[in-house]
Amino acid sequence: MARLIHIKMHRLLRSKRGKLFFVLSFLLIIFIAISVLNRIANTHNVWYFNCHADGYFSQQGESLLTVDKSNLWLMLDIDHHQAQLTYKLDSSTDFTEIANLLGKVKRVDMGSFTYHLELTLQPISWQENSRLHPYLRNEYGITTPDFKDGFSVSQQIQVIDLDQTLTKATLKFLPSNNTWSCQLLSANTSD
Amino acid sequence: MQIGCCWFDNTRRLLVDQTTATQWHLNDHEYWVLSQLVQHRGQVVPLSMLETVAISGDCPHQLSHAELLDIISKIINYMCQRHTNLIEYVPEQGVILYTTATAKRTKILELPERLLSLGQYLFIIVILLGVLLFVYSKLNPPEFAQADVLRQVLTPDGHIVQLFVFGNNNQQDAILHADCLSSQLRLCHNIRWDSIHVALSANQDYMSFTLTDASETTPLVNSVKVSIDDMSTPFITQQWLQKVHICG
Repeated sequence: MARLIHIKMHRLLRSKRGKLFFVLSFLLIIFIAISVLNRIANTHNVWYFNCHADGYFSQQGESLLTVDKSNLWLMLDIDHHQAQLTYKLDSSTDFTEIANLLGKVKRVDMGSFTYHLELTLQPISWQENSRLHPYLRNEYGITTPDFKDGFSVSQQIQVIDLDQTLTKATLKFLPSNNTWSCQLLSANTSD
Repeated sequence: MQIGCCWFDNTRRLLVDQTTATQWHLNDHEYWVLSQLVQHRGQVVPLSMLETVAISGDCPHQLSHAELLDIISKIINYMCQRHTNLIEYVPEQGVILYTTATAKRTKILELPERLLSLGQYLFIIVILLGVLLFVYSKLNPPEFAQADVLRQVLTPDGHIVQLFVFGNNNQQDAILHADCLSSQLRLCHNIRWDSIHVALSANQDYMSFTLTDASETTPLVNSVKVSIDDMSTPFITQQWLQKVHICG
């Protein structure tokens, strides 16, 4: 039986149809391999960005020369298809403000290293004279006044710079064009 | 019996290459294998038959597979170069001596118009284009973040600061801010930063500064974000640069 199969295979590979079959099978294997690679490259990503900036956020009429420095933190966690962004604004004079956005990674453009996120603002009660609230409205390009719990927003985050040791990165929020300088806490490309 | 460029003298057990007039005296085993191939020319002679050497008068004895392969390769070597493919070993089957030498096409793309029809080739090309389109659709062209304005600022102490301004596709705003910032940086007596990236938010309400000092073993990076009440009022002054630790 095995001998018969061997002879048939031998004849098939020597025939025109066999050669055509061989070429098409080869192409199919390449196609499947690329599909699998593409799937692996797009889905297996775990990134933890810890970003900080000195914030000088003035209230209405307040001079930039007199405004106190505050510390603005952004923790961005991307765990496969899940995304979480935590903002914390800390200052010596004002209360600490924390805002959390949770959502999903809709798509990843590996060519431009851009994450397309769909985020929802988690329950929060904005204080009067909040400095974080206007900043987030700016960061997410929100013009309507209803930026409150459950507000959903689409956001693109592009990694515009990443050092060779994978420890420092610069993020750019699109389309608002805000940039963040971040520490990369861990980068895991395996599943 | 003519075998390609060689004459096989069955009675004297000789193989003569007529192109070079070289003669090979065949030993018993070589003679047995070649005579069997000649008798069944154009057919695959089973390995079992070739391995059982039964020359008249002698008691039949068995050749090992390795010995047989060695004999076949020797006979093939006796042939002149253009007739070496007259004898072909079919693995696990046997050996065949072809009646005429055939041009052996080992590569599928050697003679495309003969091995595959035009339709088949067009079909392959269409499939290839499909694969390429699929790959291309998955590879987005790199969108490198390029600054709208790039300046090099020389400070009074001889330090050079690279200034990159990202104006959110508004070139004019980017130039204005680059001019303003570079003119103020030139007045700074002490700047530790090697490069300063400035990004103006889309609504022009905020500005992000990323400051990098690459002189250290571990580059030092600091970020500053500032809200802007009135874009028409310049806020980048010496005092402000010192307040946010860009200068001094």
